[in-house]
Amino acid sequence: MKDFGSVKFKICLGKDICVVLNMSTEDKVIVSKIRERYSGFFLNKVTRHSFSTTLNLDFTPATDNFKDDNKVLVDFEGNLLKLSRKDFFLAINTRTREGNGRAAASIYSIDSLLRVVFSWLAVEKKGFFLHCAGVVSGKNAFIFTGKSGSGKSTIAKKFPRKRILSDELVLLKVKKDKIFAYSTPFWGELEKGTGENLEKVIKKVFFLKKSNKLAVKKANLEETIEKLMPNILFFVNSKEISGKILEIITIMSEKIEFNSLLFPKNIKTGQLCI
Amino acid sequence: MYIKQEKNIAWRVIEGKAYLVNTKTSYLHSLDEVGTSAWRHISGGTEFEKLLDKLAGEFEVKRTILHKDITEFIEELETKGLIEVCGG
Repeated sequence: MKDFGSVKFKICLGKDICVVLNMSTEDKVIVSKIRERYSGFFLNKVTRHSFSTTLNLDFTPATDNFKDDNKVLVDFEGNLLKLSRKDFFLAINTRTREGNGRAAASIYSIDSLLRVVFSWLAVEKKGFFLHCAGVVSGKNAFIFTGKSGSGKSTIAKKFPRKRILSDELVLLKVKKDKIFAYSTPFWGELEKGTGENLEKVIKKVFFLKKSNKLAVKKANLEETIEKLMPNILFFVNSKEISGKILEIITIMSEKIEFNSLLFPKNIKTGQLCI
Repeated sequence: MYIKQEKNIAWRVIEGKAYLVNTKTSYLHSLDEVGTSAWRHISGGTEFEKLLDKLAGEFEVKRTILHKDITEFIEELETKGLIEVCGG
């Protein structure tokens, strides 16, 4: 019988949403890739505010012909949340938040698995992941969201990489009486971000639309809900979670300004007034 | 005709307007003032005639117009998979 090594990483967004990965593996390559991709989000100390799930993970050999767009299947059996895709399977006890499963020894599989688990955890902590570009300005963040092709990466590319929370997925969360944006290790076109775990107060959210002319218009609550919902990432689509997301949007709309931003491709960063 | 909500619908009334999420399709639907009131009555299950009675008491509109509008509304909700209609 092989004596597998045990490796443990605690990956956190901000300080209070964490996934603890307990892995039994001899595969040094995957361990090194996990360390390389998520090290900026490793947290050693467990704080009392920390809201985490522990996943005991075994690895299976990675498959070459896997398509990343395969759908995640979600199933509830009492308190057991089952998440499966061709390259991973997880069963999480939603009360203890402890899970067991297996995943292909591929960084793409681990990344997808983490997106799914974090998106479920976020809603429990009054937050969600938004498909958007997040730009830092001092202590604040500005969020640019829209469907694919709306210009999120176009906007992100106009700023130095160190000012970008992500060009694909940012965690938005209600905390006390403020709305915060958190950097994530989940990036799109820009591939790799600052790798820093950042927490910033959201100043404004913009719904992007490409246009010939620059125009900014304040969005009302109805527009905010209708434009925000399609861009929120949530795999665990239950009545409870969808209801919570509607409530979180309502709280956010009371605290921060949502705007429609029509912008030309050659917009200068100064014109964004951030 | 008995009308009830589909099981997989998450909804909240925000600033007087109902927002419905069909968790099977992930589509978001929003309702106007009359639709929101009708939806509240449908939420626990209702007979069509009882629904008309309740709405007639809330909104000043001719019964014939209300009947036509609510019939179309119910058809639309059913098409979108938001309600179940039994015994048409």
